[in-house]
Amino acid sequence: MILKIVNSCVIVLTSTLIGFEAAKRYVMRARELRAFQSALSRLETEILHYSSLLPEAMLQIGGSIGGGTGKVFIRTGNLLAGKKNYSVSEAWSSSLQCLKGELFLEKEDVEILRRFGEQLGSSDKDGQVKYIRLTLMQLHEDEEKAQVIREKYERMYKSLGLLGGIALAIILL
Amino acid sequence: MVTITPIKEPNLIWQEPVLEALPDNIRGMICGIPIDIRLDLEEIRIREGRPLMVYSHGKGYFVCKDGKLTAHMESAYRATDKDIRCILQLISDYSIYAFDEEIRNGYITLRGGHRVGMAGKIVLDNGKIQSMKYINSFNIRISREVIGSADKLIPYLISGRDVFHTLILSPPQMGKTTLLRDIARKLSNGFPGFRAVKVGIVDERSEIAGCWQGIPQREVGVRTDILDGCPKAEGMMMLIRSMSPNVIITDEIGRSEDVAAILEALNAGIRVIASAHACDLQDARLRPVLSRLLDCRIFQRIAVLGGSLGVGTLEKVYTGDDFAQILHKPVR
Repeated sequence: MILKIVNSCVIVLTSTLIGFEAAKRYVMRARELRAFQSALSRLETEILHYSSLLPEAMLQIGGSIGGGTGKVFIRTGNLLAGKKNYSVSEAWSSSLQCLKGELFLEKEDVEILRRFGEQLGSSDKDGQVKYIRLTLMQLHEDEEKAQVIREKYERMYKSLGLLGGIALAIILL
Repeated sequence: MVTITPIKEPNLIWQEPVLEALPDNIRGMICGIPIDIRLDLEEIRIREGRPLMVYSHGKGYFVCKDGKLTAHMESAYRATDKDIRCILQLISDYSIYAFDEEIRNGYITLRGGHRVGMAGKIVLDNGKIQSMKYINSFNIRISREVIGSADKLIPYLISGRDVFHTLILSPPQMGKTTLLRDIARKLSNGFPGFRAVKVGIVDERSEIAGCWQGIPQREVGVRTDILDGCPKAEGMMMLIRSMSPNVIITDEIGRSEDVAAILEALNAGIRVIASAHACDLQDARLRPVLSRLLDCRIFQRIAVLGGSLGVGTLEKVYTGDDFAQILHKPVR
């Protein structure tokens, strides 16, 4: 009997965890979109007010933001600082591609960021600021969408995990 | 992928920073150029859709894909628009936005003091140059310093611990800037018989010190402060106010505000060493600003450079008060 109770507990716990894990995707996507927005705002400041060089600015921002977002900035910064003949857009999109597994972003989010990379570093300050603001706007829209989706699915997956676990435990009992 | 290895050979140290500014394919070509040409390379010319060229010993050569030099432009490598875009990204460290001012002036200085000149379509705003777009030609000028070029002139510039106000007159391309740089180095490091002084350089065109991100890439001496890219007149005033130099060195004076700044420096007890474009004293007299400076008897020494014994020949040295020649025959 005790074994059965322990087993059921394990089942409920695991399934709840699976539910939380499934819900995490939605939470993290929204969080990463926000992180990219704050990183881009900082990049805007670096470009507009400090005229920092792109590789330096990328490394600095990446270091302080951390997480998957930070890694994208750091990898791009390192590629550029190495002067290995990458163009900015190549370095940026290769970083996005390479770190895909660590990011929770959806295809459409990555596409916005990739397009942003094509313009990065290649025009004067006004141009750069314009592209950054445009990208910020698009990311913000995506974030809002992500929030709506999150609200819908987060609770669902969490309850599904818990309830599914309980159901399974009852059946097996 | 062409890897760039640091080179000890002094005539080839230009390679590292210059190659870093070039796309991989062109890097390979430049590395493939015969060594005797590379040792004295003066310019690399890259123009979109046109043959890649290099200049050495005053002669131009077309460069083939494998780095061989040729006189036939048909077999030369032609730069593509991708090359051009890549160069622009590399010379600006992927940050064209940070070089608005440099692009407006038409050049970017690389690490090592080498200068990349650019040409394209100029964008005007109210008749003033605002920016440049469709940049399609680059001229990479390899800069070399001639340490010791001021040795001949220095004895005429100092008396005991004092430095004379000096004007250096020279036609273009005769080593004026190189000479100023070496004077700065000698005065600021000191040498037997002369106690080092603090030197301030106003380097309006980043030529004297060849600064890269504010750090001089040329040997300008340990007691030297540089205001890089700064207009001469304002720069002199700033140095006087903030850096307390004993000697101010500046390039190519010729505007009336320069005179005012020099007078100001004089009153502050600072010595000024400046250069100007002119072939000789008579020539300088024809230029209103210079003739005013000469009439004021501000400069105590006037040195004239020329090419009679090769680039950088010291042709004449005059005293500034009675214009008597104190150098009797040209030296190099």
